[in-house]
This record gives sequence, C-alpha cells and structure tokens, in this order.
Amino acid sequence: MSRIFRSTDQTAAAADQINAENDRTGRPASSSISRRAALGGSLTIAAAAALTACGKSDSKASASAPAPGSGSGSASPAGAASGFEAGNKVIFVVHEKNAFFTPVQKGFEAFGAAMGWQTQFIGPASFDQSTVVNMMQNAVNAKPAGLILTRIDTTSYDGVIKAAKAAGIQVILSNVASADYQKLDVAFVGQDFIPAGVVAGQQLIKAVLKHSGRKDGVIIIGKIQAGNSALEQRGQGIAQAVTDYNKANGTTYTTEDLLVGTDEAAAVSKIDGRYSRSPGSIAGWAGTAFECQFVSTWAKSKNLVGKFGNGGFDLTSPVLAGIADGSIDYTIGQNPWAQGWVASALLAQQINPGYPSFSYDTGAEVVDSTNIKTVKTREAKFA
Amino acid sequence: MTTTPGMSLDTEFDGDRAQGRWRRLIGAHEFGVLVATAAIFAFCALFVNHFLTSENLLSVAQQIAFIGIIGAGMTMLMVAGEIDLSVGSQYGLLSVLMAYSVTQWQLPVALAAVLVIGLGALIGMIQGLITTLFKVPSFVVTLAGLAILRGAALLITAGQPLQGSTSPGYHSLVGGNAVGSLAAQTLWMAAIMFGLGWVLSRTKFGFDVYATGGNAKAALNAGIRTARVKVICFALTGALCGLAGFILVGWLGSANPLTGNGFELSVIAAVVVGGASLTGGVGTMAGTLLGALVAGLIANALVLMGVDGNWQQVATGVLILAAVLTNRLVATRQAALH
Repeated sequence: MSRIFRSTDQTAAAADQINAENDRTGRPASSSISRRAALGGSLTIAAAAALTACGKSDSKASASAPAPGSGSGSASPAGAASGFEAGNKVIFVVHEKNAFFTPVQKGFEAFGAAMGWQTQFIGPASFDQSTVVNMMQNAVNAKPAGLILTRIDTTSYDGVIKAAKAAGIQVILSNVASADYQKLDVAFVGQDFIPAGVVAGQQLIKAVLKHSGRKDGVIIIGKIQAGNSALEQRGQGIAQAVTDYNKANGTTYTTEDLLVGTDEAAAVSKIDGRYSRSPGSIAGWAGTAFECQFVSTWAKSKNLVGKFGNGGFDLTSPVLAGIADGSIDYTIGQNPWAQGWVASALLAQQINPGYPSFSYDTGAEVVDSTNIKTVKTREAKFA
Repeated sequence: MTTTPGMSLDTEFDGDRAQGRWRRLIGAHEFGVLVATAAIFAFCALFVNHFLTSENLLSVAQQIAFIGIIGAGMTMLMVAGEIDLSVGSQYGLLSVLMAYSVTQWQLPVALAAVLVIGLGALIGMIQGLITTLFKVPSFVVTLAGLAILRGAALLITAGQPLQGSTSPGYHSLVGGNAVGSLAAQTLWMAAIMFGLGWVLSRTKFGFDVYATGGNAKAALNAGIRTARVKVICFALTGALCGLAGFILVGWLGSANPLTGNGFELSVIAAVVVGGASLTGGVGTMAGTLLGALVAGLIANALVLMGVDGNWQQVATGVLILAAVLTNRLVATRQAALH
C-alpha cells in the first residue's frame, strides 16, 4: 500500500529516502543531486547560449544578404548610408511557414539588407490560431520598429495589431488581410483574391475545353487548408467564373470543394479517392493554392495526364515543373517577392519619414506553357 | 555563557527541520524542471533584451494559459495511467461550437459555455468508457477521436472561421485584463490549476488517481474503482477543453476549425517536461505549470532573441530535450536512492 499511495506525499517519501541514503553512505545526497541538477541546468544554459549565437548569426546573414539579381552584396546599404533605418528591427510573422513563403522571405530580407535592418521571419510549422497570436504578441514584445503580418481571419489578430500600433510599432499586412482590415488603419500588400479566383476559373475552363472538349462535369476546387479566408475567396472566384461561363455558353459545369491538406502522400490519396468515386464525372481540378502539384503527381502515376484540366496558384518549383512537363495547365502567380519587398518598402516609409501606407495589389499573373521558361528563370533566383 | 540543554535541542530540531525541507525540495519530481525553468529564466533575464519587463512576463503567463488549463486535465489523466491525444481536436471543435451557438443559435453566452463544457465532458466520458470497457489503449481511442473531432469541426464550419460573440462582458471576463496587464486567461489558468492541484494532492479522489496509475491491480485490491477514476479523468479533460474553447472565443472573437492543430503535443510535452510519467502514477500540477512555463519562456525568448523561424523549430526541440534531461538526471538519482 505504501507503494500505491507514494504520490500522496511524494516529497516527504523522497526526503526520507534521501535521509536513508545519507545515513548509509555517510555523505549528503543533496550535494550529489545538486551537482546533477546543476549539470542539467548548465546543459539548458549551454543550449540557450548556442541559440543566442544562432540569433546573432541570423541577423548578420540578413544584413549582408544580396538582393537576388543585384549581382553583389557589397554595395553599401542605402538606408545605412542615409542614416535613416540602419539597425532597426523588423519582424515578419506569417500564419504558417510553407514553400510559398520562401520568395516572400527573400524579398523581405533583401529589402531589409538594403536598409541595414535586423530582419526576422517567423511562423508556426502548421497553423494554429492561438499559436499565431502568441507569436505575434512575442514579436510586439520584442519592440521592433515595424511588423509585417498576415491576417487570415477578421477578428483574431486585431487585438495584437492594435497593441502593436498602441506601442508605436508600424504595422503593414501582407499576403492575406481578410475583410475589413481597413478599420485597423493598416495597408495590405497582396492579391485581390476573388478576381484572381475568377482568372483561375477562366483558365481552368480553357484547359478543360482544350483537353476533352466536354461541356459538363465537375470542377474540383482543391484547398490545402481550411479556415483560410484567402483560399476561400479564391474558391468563390473560381465558382463565380464557372457560373458566369455556364450562363454565357449554355454549359453545365458544376463545382465541388475538396480539402487535400499539404502532405503530398495524403493529398494524392484524397485525390485518388475522389476520382475513384466517379471517374467519368471530373472535368478538371482547380486548386486555390498549390494543390495542382499533387494532382500532377497523381495523374502521372495513373497515366491520366491530359485527361482533365489542372491548374492552381503560386509559383513553387514543383508547380512550375508541372507546367514545363505539361501535367499542369496553368498557375496564377501573386508576386510573392513583392509581398516581402514592397511590404517592407511601404513599411520603411511608414517608419521614416512617416508617410501613411497604401494597399498594393500584387496581381494575378497567368503562367502557362507560353511563358513558363521566362518565369522559371526568374523564380530560380529564389531557390 | 552557558547553553541550556533545552535550547540546544530546539536549535538542533530547527536545523533538522530546515534540512528536511531542503531535502524534500530537491527530492521532488519537479525539482529538475524547476532548475531548468530557473536556468532559462536567468539566462533570458541576463542576455535577452526586453525579456525582463512586467508586460513581457505577463504576456508569457497569458500565452501558457491554454496549455495550463488543458494540461491540468491531462496531468490527472496521465497520473491515472492514460493519455488523450484528441485534446487539440476537442479544443478546436468546442471552440467552433461555442462560436456557432452564440451566433447561429443565438444562445446566451453562459448557456453556450455550459453546453460546450458539458459536451466536452461527454466526449471525454465516451472516450474513457471505450478505453476502460473494451480495454482498448487510450492512445488508440483518442487518436481516432483526434480525427473524428477535427473532421466534425471542419464539417460544422465548412472549413471557414466562425465569428464569435461581440459581447464586451464576455470579452472582459475571459480576454480582458484582470488587473493592470494581468490577463484574465492567466487567472483562469491559475484557478483551474490550483483547484485541481488541491484535488490531486489533498483529496481521496487524488489518492485514487495516483493509486490507479501507480499500480492498478493493487488499487483494485484496495477497493478503488479504477475504471471509474479513469473515466472521470477523461471527462474532466474534455470539460477543460470546452472551458478553453469558451475562453478562446471570448478572447479572439472567432473560432477557426484548425484551432488546436497539433496542440496535443504541446500539452503532453508540458506535462512530461513537468515530471509526469507516461506510465502513470507520477506527476503534479506544479510540475505541469513549470513545464508549460518552460515552453512559454522558450517560445517568447526565441522571438525576442531574433532567432529565425526555421531555427525556432530546432531550438524548441533542443531546449525541451535539455529541460527533460535535467529532470531525468534528478529522477535517476532519486530512483537510485529508492
């Protein structure tokens, strides 16, 4: 029974054991534990010290990183030369770090290097509402000169944006702003999602007609993530384009949502499952992000390339490779570089001399077989 | 000057008592994580800019509130020898239901809160009953729960975030500042952890929980209804997920179907870093609080230190491992003493 109830007074029991050990060995057990605990503590401190070094090296790397295409990193930072923003800390917090954000980060860091900023680009590996809010709050607590944030719903991030502004931190939104962001008196650099979705829908119908000529069937609207207002709005735009086309041309396309996630193996299984349910019903796959790369992988494995229209958004390398090999018909770019670089430039003028920012639409660039070489060459600079 | 024998005895007694207290402290399961927390705190205080400000420290306390609240239930469950992998999904689903019930069903906030907390308890109870009646390992049952409940959240919302109540009273109750910059969430966490800590360490039910996780057969022989204890712990954990959902929606004004995505790992990490054993019978609320604090301090310090996002993933793992090793070193020593 003493074993059963040991935890009701674990500390007392442990103390008794220590006393017994003390008596048996003739040396104080506490000193031994203290040494071990101190060793463990030292281990923790050593790990933390290594991280300090990481943090410092990261800042240095940012300050000396050349802008893609500049050819050299040796030019003196313009901001530093003018004496304006050198040394300012600017933090970019995204809702989820994934492949899309690589050129965004590069654009941000390139501008930061030119200004002599200490840049930091952070976000959780997978989206969770309160984790993102906490990261943003920690960024505010770091007292940077400026913050660039993604706002993927209409309320959750407003408290922290207001807190940042109240603390005198300049804020700008990038990539996704959600409805009513203007009430926060912040600008937004990113795509206008519904019109971009309409462009995507039009491209998909063009691809369906090219591949099969069919005038009916389901257009699957793929999503990599639930609860992301940007993807939902693109999906609305795609559905709107399909409805408009049906009305104008007497076709009977329908749309259907499919959440596939970002894990390729799981996404391919879901795509295959949907196809297997009714193979003849599907006219095309219209992604709201980079789902088309998963459709490409699946179609190649099943020898189904060219049987459907397939397209999506973003300029990630697998998507561009799919366009180059013909397994993807189109993608809609949103100039991710600008979402880092232009957002930083607008933030810089907010910080000093203090001009208010304006929103900047990073567009809906159609990339297909006609311009893929040029786009691939351009995007390779971010690899 | 002479010393009377009585005075000498008193002094010796006081000395023994002080020594006993010290030995009890260093012998505690939480001593390792206490050392790790103190080490991280000291490092941050000395070397990290903007760390040692009241606003930042209170902000860290706010950030660990959800881990602390759900972690309190998870501590009891793990002490009882079980685990719940579905807490992140439960928290997500119940957040969504909280937002849905106040906006779509127009329920009063208090009634909606009772509904989600009760539903959380029911979900936990069902998982507990499946685990105990059918002798299915809880990690399997709750892994299935993780998928089912997340799917339910996505179905209810059609994948979109839901608006919550805009009631100022509700917001200030759970999302405002209680005193100065001290967030209401921090007080909720403190109340829950203190209350359940008391239950775990000072009541018959707490003894039963330790007994169930420590040696289930012996506990049964001693007349403890171990299955009932486990089901209650599951239900309690579910109810706390409901409470966390109620607080989250009041704080942020919306609920996302992906709320709590991967959150189960953060909660389990806090409980384990805090000294609880995955095999049951060991663990305390104070340890879990320290485990949550370690996670919160690390997340906060990495941003303040300017560590890049990708490195933060690595750094978090390294520091948690270091904290666990610190704890383990002490535990190993204790085992040797036993």
